[in-house]
Amino acid sequence: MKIAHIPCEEAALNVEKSFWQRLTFIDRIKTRWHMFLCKKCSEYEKNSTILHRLLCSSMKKKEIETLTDRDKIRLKQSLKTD
Amino acid sequence: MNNNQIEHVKAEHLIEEHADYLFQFAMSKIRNRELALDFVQETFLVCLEKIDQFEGRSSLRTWMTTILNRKIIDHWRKEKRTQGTVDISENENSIFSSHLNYITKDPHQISEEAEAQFFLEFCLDKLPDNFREIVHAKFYDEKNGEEISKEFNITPSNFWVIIHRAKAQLRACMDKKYLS
Repeated sequence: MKIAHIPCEEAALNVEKSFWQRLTFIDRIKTRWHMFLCKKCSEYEKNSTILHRLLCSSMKKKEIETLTDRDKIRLKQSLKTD
Repeated sequence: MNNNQIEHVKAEHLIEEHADYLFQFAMSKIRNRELALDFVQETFLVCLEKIDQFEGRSSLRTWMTTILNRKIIDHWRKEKRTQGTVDISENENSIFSSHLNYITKDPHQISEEAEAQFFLEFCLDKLPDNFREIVHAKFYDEKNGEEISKEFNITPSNFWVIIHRAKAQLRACMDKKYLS
């Protein structure tokens, strides 16, 4: 099992990567094993998942809102007068 | 062309290049068309005024977005001051449990959403500039690690370290803020 041991820092980075890309099979096993053994990292993973979802939903472009030509003219006018 | 005309051309160019993006960003945060437009307008005014202070450490758009984001936070601060503080239930002694409710669309919907957003924006603003810009590029612009690494001149592994540290700081800040 020593071969599957990775330090906490590496496990945390793997957690971050896993939100965006598929980890290799070996990395997945190593990370899961680490989470099984390390309470702190397991807690980190839980919190990080929530924070990730929060960041995604907060920054998500809800609908594509664009400026109309009138809005742009209004903006240009306002900068002209100021 | 005199100086005024040059300034005017500069302003028009900035609007054509960045107005839609900034407006979409503002809308994603406040969902009020008129208010979003006002913030974008104010952002352009500040940018034109302070364009000489732009050091080029990040892209012009990122710099402008940071200014816009600060304006939105100031607006929320004022709103909160006029509305008074929001009650926090005794059982919810962690922002994460309340955020989980919000994310899973459980109980306290709108005020919870506004509260969570406010704290998140507040804490994002407290991040070091490069951390905040990288988080923004990843989550809002949805760029991949490689693109961001190139833009910010960092290695791909450094990129993940920054994301990890930024989130650790966000978590610490949100816990502290939400509990205080």
